[in-house]
Amino acid sequence: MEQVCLRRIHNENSQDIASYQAHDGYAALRKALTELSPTDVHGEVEAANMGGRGGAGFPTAMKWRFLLGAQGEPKYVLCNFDESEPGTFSNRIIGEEDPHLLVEGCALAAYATGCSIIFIYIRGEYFLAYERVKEAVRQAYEHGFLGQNVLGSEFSVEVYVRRGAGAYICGEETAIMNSLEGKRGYPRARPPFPANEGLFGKPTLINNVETLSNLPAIVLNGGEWWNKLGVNGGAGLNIYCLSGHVERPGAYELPIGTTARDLIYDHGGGVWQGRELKAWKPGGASSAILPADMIDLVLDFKPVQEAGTILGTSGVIVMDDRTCVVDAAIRDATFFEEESCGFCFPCRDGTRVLRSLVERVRHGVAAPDTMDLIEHASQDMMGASFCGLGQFAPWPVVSTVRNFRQEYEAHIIEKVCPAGVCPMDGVEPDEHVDRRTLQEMLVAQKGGALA
Amino acid sequence: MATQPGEVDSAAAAKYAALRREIKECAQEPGATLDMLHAVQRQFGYLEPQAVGMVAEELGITKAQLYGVATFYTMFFFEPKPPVIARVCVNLSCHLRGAQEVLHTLEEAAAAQPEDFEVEEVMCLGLCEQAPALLVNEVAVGGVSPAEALQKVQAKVSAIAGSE
Ligand SMILES: Cc1cc2nc3c(=O)[nH]c(=O)nc-3n(C[C@H](O)[C@H](O)[C@H](O)COP(=O)(O)O)c2cc1C
Ligand code: SF4
Ligand code: FES
Repeated sequence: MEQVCLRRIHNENSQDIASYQAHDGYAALRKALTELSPTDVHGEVEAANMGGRGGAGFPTAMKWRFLLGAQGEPKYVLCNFDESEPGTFSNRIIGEEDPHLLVEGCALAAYATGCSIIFIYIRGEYFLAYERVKEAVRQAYEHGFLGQNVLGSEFSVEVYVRRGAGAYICGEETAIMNSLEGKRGYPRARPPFPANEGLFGKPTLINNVETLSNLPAIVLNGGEWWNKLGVNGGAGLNIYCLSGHVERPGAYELPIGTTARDLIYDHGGGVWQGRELKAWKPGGASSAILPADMIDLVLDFKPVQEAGTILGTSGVIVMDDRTCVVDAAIRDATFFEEESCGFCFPCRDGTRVLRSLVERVRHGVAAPDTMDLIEHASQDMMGASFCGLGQFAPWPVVSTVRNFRQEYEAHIIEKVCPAGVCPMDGVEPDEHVDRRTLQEMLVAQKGGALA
Repeated sequence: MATQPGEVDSAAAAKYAALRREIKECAQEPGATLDMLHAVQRQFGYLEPQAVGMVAEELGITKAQLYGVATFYTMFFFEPKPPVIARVCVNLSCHLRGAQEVLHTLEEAAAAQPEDFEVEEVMCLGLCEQAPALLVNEVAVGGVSPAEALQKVQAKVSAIAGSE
């Protein structure tokens, strides 16, 4: 089966420039600089019709176009290597095993969009990927693929590799810029959009590692070739990160549009230990939990959205029939409470409210109207949160309520955990639970001024 | 192991000098604030106040401002730590494959040897296909039983003790 991003990862010394060059490495950059104008490269990406792999699926060629009209120098490419969405690890594998692919992709993006400086922002926990990418950049400079007048052309580009330090929010496209500027990683209001006023106030193209790593193959083989690699109406390939209760967890680069059934059963070997599927998530923590009967869902941005959730980072998490969805929900709820940056009220308080409500369900001490409270808090958060973190944070919780209502009823009314997983000890968690709606809390905080 | 006061001072001075060089080098490139803080932590095991002062001076901001930034990020420590830190992921994919057991085993052991290592519950490490996963200092460890995880941690503790 055709592969692009993971094609070379099993080669010996795959991270080394010699190995990379022995397998078409830097051939795309050479081709671009000798045969193609920036507009030509842009045209291939347009023909590929690629949606960005960072989570939103935003058309890459369109994002590039925003940059062309932007005023200000220098222009930056910012490679988002913060990868922190639970269930997601494709960027790490590329960075560790084929870092030159990413470097070449960054250089192609810079050439096509008129950028002269590239930042690669790698999450702090990725120690090995950081070392490998840094070494790849050093080798690429040494071989003349980066720096002044790349391969004797007019094109010059500098690359800086930077580390994060543990903050999921720094993957958000404006928070990452604040972080790079040496500030706390709070998101910024948009507009101004990064393409016009991004990093250090200059035009900035921000793309995900996987998005950028597809570029060499697109330039070398043509956008149309890449586009046709998809199935079920999808464009190109996609790396699905498969984890949880599955026989063969791992990163699978497959035609986008592959169904969850094919991914989980054909490629992943099915649910582990011969058990049945109970639930699964299509796109990391931020996506809704889906029941087993939605297994034929086509895993592309649009179909998943039409099913009421998001493909996101395509981190597919599998849960077997012994899983308790309340127990699963508390993990995601805890994640978002921990990672909320605290900048805006609906997310800061909402993530806490949701986690404490689910905590009570687990202990068998939830009030009878808990499901309504979860629904209300979730809707407030989705509508009123400042950035994507708070807008998506309620999904993993509210979807367990909506899709597995009987299981919540068992916990709340009968006070039993059908899977036998939750403590159900009748112990009140030692914390205050706020039963007010977020609106009521906000009004109280402002002394009623907003009532 | 006892060192003379003079030795301690010169060792400390050498550390600060090395750090100052590294910080100056970082400062050649834009956007390196976090890298400078990482350098401090690599040298001292935590954000040692005098070294934080050096970074603040290099950046032309106050220590208070720099601490304001540093405290946003979970990887930085503000007090001395044991030589080994085990960061155990407790998110869903790892949870489904036994993260809680790994965590409990390590926490129990750490309670008995607090000087040697410390256990931290952390959010997804991007090692989900190797669940349950943890970082032992800078090294990723995955697909381990609680006993194997503990063995990796103890091996690191011994390796560090042996190199001193
Ligand atoms: C809370 C939050 C966290 C995010 N984390 C990441 C991340 O770690 N990596 C990433 O590429 N995109 C992340 N994104 C999406 C980015 O904001 C941005 O859309 C993306 O990097 C654009 O790249 P693409 O067009 O290539 O997909 C995150 C978004 C939000 C709201
Ligand atoms: S939604 Fe959450 S993460 Fe985003 S700005 Fe508000 S508090 Fe911060
Ligand atoms: S969920 Fe544990 S490493 Fe991702």
